[in-house]
Amino acid sequence: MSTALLVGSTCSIKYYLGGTSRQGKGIGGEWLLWKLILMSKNSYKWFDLGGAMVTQLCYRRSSKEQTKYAGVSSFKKGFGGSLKRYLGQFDKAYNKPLYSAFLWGKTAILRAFPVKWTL
Amino acid sequence: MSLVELGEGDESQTPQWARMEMAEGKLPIIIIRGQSLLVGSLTKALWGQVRILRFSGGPVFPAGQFDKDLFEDFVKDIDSIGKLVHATFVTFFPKVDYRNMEAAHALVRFGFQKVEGFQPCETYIIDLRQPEDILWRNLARSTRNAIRKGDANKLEVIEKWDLESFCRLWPRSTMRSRTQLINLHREIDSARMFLRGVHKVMCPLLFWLVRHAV
Repeated sequence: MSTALLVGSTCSIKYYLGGTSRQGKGIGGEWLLWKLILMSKNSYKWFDLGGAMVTQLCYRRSSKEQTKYAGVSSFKKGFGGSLKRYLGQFDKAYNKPLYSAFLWGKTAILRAFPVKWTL
Repeated sequence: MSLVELGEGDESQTPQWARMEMAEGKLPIIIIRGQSLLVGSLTKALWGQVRILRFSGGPVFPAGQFDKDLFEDFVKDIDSIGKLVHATFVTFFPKVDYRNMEAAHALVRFGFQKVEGFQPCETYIIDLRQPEDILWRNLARSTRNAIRKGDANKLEVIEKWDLESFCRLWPRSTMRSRTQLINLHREIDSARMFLRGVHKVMCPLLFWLVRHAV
């Protein structure tokens, strides 16, 4: 079994979230996404694969995480889309101590309890 | 031209998205300048002590062309709104090309800093206007083989148009085995318990310290 959550705007559709069970591994995800690309063809101009995980591959250090991101990256790359890079995130803090404490806490929680259930 | 049409190519820049954020308890903020718009939201975290003004996308420019002056105006607006709503910090994720230095300079000029975010900075885009056979040819060999195998196994697509159905089905598709299902729930619960503990004990102390430091 494979699932995929897509969100569409006027001319583009974005692949937000998905997963494949053990039985469908290596077949289900690719097959489902291909069918969804074909189904979207008549209504949209662009299909956004919702991230490429290329930068994450450079930043992450542990080999376990490298393997995980490499798998997701090659899965998405396999659909032959063109790589689009954005400027990234920009923050402006009005209360710097609180901002730093919040970011530190968020990072610490994400490290302690990594989200394992995203694709 | 409707606002939905203006949100061309960016789902986070539509009133529907703003409505969804409102349903999640966030305060949507829409900045309109002529035929351009920027949609964001104000989130309150840790009992309203941390106020995050977030713009995760946009702005939408007329005819899709980047406009330096308009972008600067939007950054100025974001800054003013941030001060007006007493935000702890503003997060802006502009959907402009990474080589666009004009946009980066405008942001830096208004006091924004580049950070390594949690949102992906890059994505793969497939042009759906290409014919089906070209799309098929662009696929990697392993992907094509997997699709052929899927066709041979007579798989079928079930379409559901509500988020609830997806939330029900998705955990079943991500579970590798029954053991992992139990562990996953335990992990989520333990994370919740941990957070509750942090909230109860640490936060009042932290806020007291921060207030006195400021």
